[in-house]
Amino acid sequence: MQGGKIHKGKIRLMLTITSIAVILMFSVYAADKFLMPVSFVLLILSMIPFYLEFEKKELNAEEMVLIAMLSALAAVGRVPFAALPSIQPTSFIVIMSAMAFGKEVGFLVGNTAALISNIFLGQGPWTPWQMVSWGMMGFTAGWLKDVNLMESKHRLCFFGFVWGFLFGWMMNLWVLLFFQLSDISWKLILSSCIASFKFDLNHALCNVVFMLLFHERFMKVFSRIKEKYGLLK
Amino acid sequence: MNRGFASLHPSPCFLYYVSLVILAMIIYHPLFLSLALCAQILLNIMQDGGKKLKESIKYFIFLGLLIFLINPIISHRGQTVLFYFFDNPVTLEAVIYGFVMMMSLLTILVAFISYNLVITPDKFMFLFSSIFPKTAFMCMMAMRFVPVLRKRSQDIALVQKTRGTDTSTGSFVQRIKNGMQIIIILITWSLEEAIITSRSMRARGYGITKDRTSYFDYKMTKRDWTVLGLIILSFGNLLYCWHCGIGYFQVYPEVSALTLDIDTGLFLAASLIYLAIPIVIEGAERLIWL
Amino acid sequence: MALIDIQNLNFTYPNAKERALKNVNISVEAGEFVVICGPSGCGKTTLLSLLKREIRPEGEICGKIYYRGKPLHQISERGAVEEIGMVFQDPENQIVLDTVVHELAFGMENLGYGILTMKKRIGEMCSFFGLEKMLHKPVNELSGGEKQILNLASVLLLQPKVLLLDEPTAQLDPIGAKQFLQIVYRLNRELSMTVIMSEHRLEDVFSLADKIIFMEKGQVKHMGNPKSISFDILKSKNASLHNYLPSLVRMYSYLKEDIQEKEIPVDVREAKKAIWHLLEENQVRDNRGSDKSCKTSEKPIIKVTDISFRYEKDMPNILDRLSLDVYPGEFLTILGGNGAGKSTLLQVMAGLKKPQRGKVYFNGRDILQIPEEERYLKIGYLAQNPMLYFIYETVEEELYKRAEMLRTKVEGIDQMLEKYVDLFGIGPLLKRHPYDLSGGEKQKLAMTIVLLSKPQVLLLDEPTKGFDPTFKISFKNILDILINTGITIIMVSHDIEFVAANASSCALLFNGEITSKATPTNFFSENYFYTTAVNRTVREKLPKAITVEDVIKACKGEKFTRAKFALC
Repeated sequence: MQGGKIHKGKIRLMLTITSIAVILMFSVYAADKFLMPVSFVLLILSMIPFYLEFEKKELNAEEMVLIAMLSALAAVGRVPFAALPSIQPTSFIVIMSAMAFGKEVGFLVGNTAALISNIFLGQGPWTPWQMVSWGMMGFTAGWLKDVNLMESKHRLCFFGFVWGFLFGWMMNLWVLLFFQLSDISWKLILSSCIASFKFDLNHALCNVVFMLLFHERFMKVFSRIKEKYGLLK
Repeated sequence: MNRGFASLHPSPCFLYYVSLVILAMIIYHPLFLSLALCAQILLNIMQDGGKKLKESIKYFIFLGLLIFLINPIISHRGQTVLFYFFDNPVTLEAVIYGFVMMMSLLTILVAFISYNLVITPDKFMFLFSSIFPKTAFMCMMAMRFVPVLRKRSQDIALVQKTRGTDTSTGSFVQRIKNGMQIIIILITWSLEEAIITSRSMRARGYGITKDRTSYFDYKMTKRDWTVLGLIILSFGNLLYCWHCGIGYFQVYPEVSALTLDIDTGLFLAASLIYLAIPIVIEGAERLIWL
Repeated sequence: MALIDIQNLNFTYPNAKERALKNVNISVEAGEFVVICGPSGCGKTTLLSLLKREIRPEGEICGKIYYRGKPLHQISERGAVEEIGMVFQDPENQIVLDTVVHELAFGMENLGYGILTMKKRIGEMCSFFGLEKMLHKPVNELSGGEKQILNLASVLLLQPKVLLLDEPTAQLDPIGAKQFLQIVYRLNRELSMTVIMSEHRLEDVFSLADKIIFMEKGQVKHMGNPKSISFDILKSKNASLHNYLPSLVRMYSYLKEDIQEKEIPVDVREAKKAIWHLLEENQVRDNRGSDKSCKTSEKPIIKVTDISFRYEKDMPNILDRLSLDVYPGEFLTILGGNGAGKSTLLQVMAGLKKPQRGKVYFNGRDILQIPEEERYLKIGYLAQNPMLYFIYETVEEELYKRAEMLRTKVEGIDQMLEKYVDLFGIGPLLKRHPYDLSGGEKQKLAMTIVLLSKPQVLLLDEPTKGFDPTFKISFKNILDILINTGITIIMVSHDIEFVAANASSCALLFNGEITSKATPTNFFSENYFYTTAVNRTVREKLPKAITVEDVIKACKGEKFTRAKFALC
């Protein structure tokens, strides 16, 4: 599962980033009225390469169980924090899964966690956005680890911090596109980011706190599991 | 739910909702959108008595009004200035655009309520697995684990409370730590137990053949094909109208009058046919039982 | 030709010093019902997994396994999956998918069956098992027993010739276990399906099996039909093995001087015939209850008054105006059907759940008014699954960190820790990961963790579930020691035999309330169905005898009993 050539991953990453960029450009420059359908199509297209890759792989029972279990864990991670409404460990679990099991697993865990929690809570037009955002969070974490950019804990914390905001901004973009306001300008995007600043900062700090306190514990748990599942061979 | 529209094969249903959302996003005609919204509300009421709709209608109205009010404040395009709000012009066009957007948004949101009633997780997985069988299978496994994990995390929280690990008391950092403690136990334990799941999968032959099949008990009957054809035709018709500019309602730079010429009339008739499909199916089912 | 022929099988796990299986020779005929019995860790699970090729454990294998005359590894992949089916111990973790119908189809999907075949087979299976009503239910709405039947049905859809069952009823309640075994028995008799099942409780399978294999330390010790294997074991010198035999067989052997093989009873009917004339017509004194249980003049340590509890607003009350007094030094067991609310009651008594109505008093104080920290120190709660308790990576950390936390609150924590490590035999395990311990060791570790806070009351939720007689005896001894130090024990259990032999009082939870509370002797002797097999056998002559010990005391006197039981 660790395999997968880096250039392939790069292409996929570029594809997704490009599609997001295209959506952004559309929204800012073209006063086109069909941002929403176009953005949807692009989003869904961006997930397809990952799925195709997964379909082609021959995964054994242990690997399937592992990915499904991690996804479910990320999806229910909020339950123990019911008394702390602003805290959610989903992003942290997604990033940690990617760090331990690679970028493909990272993408799938983030993606599936978003999908299944939407299936349980009711799907909506936001579903593909969450799927892509969490998927990309996992994928980039695994990818940066592959290119040795996640060596220190500081970088990991920084990564979690940045993604806290990125995730919020992706969701802002969704809201703006969905509301189809007649003038989507940089100013509007900026003001939406300011409006959501508190939540995004909260998400970002949450990731950092979890990374600082629990990174090692998680890695230990996962390395034990790797051995148990025979994934080290 | 397995009655009326939902008793059809998932494919025509799914296609209907997708096409409806697309139309609601590209056709900005106030009359079309009003009809679509009414049709969706009616559909919801026919499906579950509007129970699910009632739960979320207040948020929807809030969102709709928000967009209706915000658009004229931030957008100053359009030529007919109604009044000035803090020195900024509020135009008739922006107000109307806001209204159209509100209708579009509400239509989509209400359609999703009905979507969630009709496209059950199982039907969704059926559709998903017809394109990506392995990914869908993995999602179904994950869905199986969700209730198990939820129960386990409650059990762990209860027991850990007796050891002083509690997320409802103590300092903020301590509570976060305690919550994560529960998650760590949950992860360690569940991944450990899941080895049994993988053994049980192997024992039932998982992975021995590449041509894994999927058991979903949905088949296209003549009725499904008919409805599917009807949806495609009427949807295509509306798309064609849209392409030709029939039913185009201009807002910017200057709002066009709502005229009822023959073109618009035909366009609305075509819309009615399209919007009536699920409602007629629901209604026909009721007639049987009258 | 035997269907399965195991010749000189030896197996060693990687990094293990000793062989897990030593020179095992077994042959199984087509249509036989074979039960493999023996203490935990005797190699029965290993043996079964070696017969199921897909899950064969890593390790060094030596010897031959033939299936229909061919070496097992030469059977086609498909044939091996289809013809040899396996159901595992834990009902929950075996399930892969979210609804019953998908779970049923899972095996057939893996082998690429067409939709029509699958549909036909599922339809047929549902009619045989009566699963129609739950076909589209999510699996998490099923009870443990139903889950295990689902697991069995899912395997049967591949139409196996051989069914391997690894302690399939260990995690089920008695009703669920009986139902499951009935189905297996039907499959064996009506379809002539070969069944190989591992089990350490012979009580329920004794009358069903054709052949019983007794294993110990990786070796086959005894083999034969139920009567002949009992005869062998009774004649052998190793008295600790006697505990693995059903209570009726033990009772027979203690009463009869010269044991006849064909007289050995497999069920209550035969037991009556075999020992009826040996019983003397005298009453058994209500001896165990009276000396252990406490004077009612004392104040109750836990007093439950009219509590009602439900989980959600719209759900029915699971506990309904329930009252119960528990006195210091008592060993109370709460019995009741599946889902009767026994675990909930325990959690309410532990102060973990707040009842909607009514109060629980601990030493006269409202339990919910006691600060949480103090509450959980004084009332120890041991949940069904010990895994819930473990936080750290070694047993040592688990214990010492807990002791550290309690240092200021509990006196003499270090001596206590030492005492319990000694008592529970945890010493050699200190460096291990808690998850790598055996089931019994996990249970003991979790119990130590709870006991370190020096609780006055200990609440136990089915602590003997799924354990072998050896563990139960050591567990009983531990409970005796705890009771002697003055701890009050309240235990929820389905294990009638264990309760009858050890508790000082029993209470039945039914319909949300406690319908009766009495000493075990009175409790069980008044019951008609819900009582021990021994009592059902001897009740006409010795209505108050509920355990083997009672019967022997009545017939042979106190001294004999001591001598005989000292062996075990």
